[in-house]
Amino acid sequence: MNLICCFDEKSRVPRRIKRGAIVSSVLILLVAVCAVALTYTVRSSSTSSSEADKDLPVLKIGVTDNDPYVYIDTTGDYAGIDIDIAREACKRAGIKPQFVDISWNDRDRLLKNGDIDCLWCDYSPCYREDEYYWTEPYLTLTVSVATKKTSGIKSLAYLDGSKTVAVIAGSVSERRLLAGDLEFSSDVHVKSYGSAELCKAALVKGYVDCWMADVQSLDCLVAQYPGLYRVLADNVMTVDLGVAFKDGYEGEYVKNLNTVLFEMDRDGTIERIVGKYKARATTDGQGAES
Amino acid sequence: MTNDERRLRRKALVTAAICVVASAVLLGLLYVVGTHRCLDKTLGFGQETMVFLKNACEKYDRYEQGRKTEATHNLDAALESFSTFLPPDRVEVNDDRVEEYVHSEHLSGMLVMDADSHMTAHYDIDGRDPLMLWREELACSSVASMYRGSKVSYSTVVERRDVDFAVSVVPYGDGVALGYRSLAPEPADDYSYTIADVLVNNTFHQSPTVFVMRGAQIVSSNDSTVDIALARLLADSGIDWKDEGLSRVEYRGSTWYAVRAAYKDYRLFALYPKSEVMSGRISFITAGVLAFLVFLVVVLLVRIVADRRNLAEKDKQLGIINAISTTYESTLLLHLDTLEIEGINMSPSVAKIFAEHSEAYDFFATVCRDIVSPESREAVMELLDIKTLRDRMEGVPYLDAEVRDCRGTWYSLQVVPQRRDERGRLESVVVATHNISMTKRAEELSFQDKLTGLRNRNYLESLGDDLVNESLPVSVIMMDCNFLKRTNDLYGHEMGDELLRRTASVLRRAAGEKFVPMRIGGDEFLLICPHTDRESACEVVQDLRLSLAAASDEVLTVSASFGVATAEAPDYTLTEIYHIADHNMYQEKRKVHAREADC
Repeated sequence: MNLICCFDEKSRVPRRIKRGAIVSSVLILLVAVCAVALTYTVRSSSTSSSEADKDLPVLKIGVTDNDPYVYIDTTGDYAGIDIDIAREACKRAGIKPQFVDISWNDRDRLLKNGDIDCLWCDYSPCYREDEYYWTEPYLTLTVSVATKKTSGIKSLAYLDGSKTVAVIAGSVSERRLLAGDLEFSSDVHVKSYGSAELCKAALVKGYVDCWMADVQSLDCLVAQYPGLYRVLADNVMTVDLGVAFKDGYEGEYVKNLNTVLFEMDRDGTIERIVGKYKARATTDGQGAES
Repeated sequence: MTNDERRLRRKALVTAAICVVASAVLLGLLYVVGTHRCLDKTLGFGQETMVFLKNACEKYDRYEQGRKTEATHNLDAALESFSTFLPPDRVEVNDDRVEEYVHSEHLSGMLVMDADSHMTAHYDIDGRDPLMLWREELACSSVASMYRGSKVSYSTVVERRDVDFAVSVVPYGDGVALGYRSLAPEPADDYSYTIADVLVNNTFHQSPTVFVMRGAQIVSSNDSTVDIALARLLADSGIDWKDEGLSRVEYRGSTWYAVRAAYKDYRLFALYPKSEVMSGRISFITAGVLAFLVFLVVVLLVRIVADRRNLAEKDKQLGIINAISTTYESTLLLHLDTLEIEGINMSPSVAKIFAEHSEAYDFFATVCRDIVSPESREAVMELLDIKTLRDRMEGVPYLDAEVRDCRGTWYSLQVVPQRRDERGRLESVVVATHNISMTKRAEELSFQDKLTGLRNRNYLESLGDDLVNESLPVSVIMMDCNFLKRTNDLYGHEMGDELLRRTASVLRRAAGEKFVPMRIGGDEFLLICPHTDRESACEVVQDLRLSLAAASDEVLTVSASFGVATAEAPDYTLTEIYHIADHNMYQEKRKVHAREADC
């Protein structure tokens, strides 16, 4: 007779190993939960500026609200086609951009006083070649006409002496209209407004028959009032945009910006930036070509 | 404190430490996750509020632009009317006429310029100089083109001396006419739209202070107590604004969480008091702790059920152990590492020794000295040698030995493994003693011939071949009594039995301590002679013949036939040797029968 059958001797080691496995699993689970919670908790926050930017030369860029070229986004930062192009160009040229919100009517005084270094806000050298020292054109805009679908205006040929066109005062569009060197009738009535918002509001209220501006701005209007407005397929003209420095400028910025803007045009960066804002125009849109 | 108690105590301490650490980690985790959950929730509300504010501003902006455009349009109409009814080629325009017109059309002022850009007439209801006031507008390209005969009119809304004006310029003769009208805020009506109304009439989640700023001025807010100090604080660059999160703001000794956005030149803010933001944290932590407690309760219940099952199993095992233990004289547990002994059940004599000698070596030595018979002491000490016990128990289910105590009682001493560590190393064994005297006695009886007291055929059959191999040369002497049948027939069975007893007595004396005598049949006897060659065996046979003759008297003739077989090499089994001896014995028997027949 022996006692072997009376003791659970064989099962002791496996049971202990099983208990160890359970404890290990619980610990691993706890660590996993901690890791998940910390991943959930710790969120990376982007820093507004890097330390390396501190020593870079600063370019003070005069801008004013002009969607989609310059506007303030929901986080309070500058955004827009010109802002993105300026940021990328300055980054490539080793310059730190500083955007200064200005009253557009004070632009020349601020430029003269040195409060700003340049104007980079949907500004064209057309008719102003001698007033500023310009960079090479970095973007070419297409100008067209937007009208209510119920207006009966289907092409530029419909614009005659019975129609009123809204334009921004002082813009290239206004100058070309008043000069009468566009493809449609020079008898058309021209109504100049002090801002793009007034042009748009005048069209919405029916005070004018159409609004002539760059296609980007007109697309914003069409997107803002779905189904009510159309942009005519006929392009009126194209306008080049440039960066304006004060006349007689002798610094290095223009030369450097010309180089990097040429590179950005060649590698498709500018096209990508414009494309990004074309997509955004489906949600809202305001602005005009000046 | 025993090993098990120490182990249990250590386990309890480790469990308590794990519980404390796990609780601290859990609470910390719940606090951190709860905090971020609250912040995320508030951020969601804040972003919703910003979208709402942005829409409100956009709607307000559209409303304002419409109002301004309408104002410029009305102004345009007034100026067109002026140029229509007072054409310069027919009517002399002077300051009086302009003043009259300004009043009749509710303008703020008006001026008329001739073809040389000289002001010919003007009037301002507040006496301002309109030429200075509208210098920039008169110089703009649109107006300049009017002097060149372009069919264009110019309208805008600008701020001059803290007043918003609608301004329009139309061609007037060879010059231009400029009129302006202040845009005084309209009295609120059913069609007016103000951001303040939107803010006040809306309820926002978590009761934030919502306000709209323009520059450093607060335009509208849902809280009338908000002052310019807060506006300056928020406009100040000292706040570390987070692009995709809530920003912490300290204001008037309180902590706030702020979200901001922008629409055109409007700055939109929502400030949430910390108490509102973190209101859900306590409930989250409480819910987390409750969930954890529920989890623990479930685990404990499962554990209790499992423990009960284990307990029932152990109860069953313990019952078996106890039942078996009753058949053992003594049962004790020996811890091989600590040399401690735990008594499970003990005989009084063993218990008395254990009370005075609990250490293993001391205990076993005393037991051997006081209880174990001298001839069994070596076997006991060899079996219970603790130094070699682990090695001896490898691969065997148990160890045992049959030993006797001082009173001659036989015991089976058994050593059985009880517990091994994680690596399988033996930690403790059970030592048990079982009284086998009855078994031994029954065994003795089954091997004994009742008539002669010699070993019987059962004993012969129980002997293994080891006896042959270990005792070479081995001789087997087969002996068959002569005249047993005749004695039984002439004198009865009592005399026949006496013949057999005398023969056995002779055989026992001849065998001494060296040889094993047996009665294996009615008149057949056997003598196994270890370490005895054939010559010596034959001498034994001669001695036996003489001794048998000496045992005869006038009534009983004691004699026997003999057969001898000797194994010199280990090629034979005991059975084979026995059969050879038997064969030889029958040869002699036949000669005896032949002689009897001759007589």
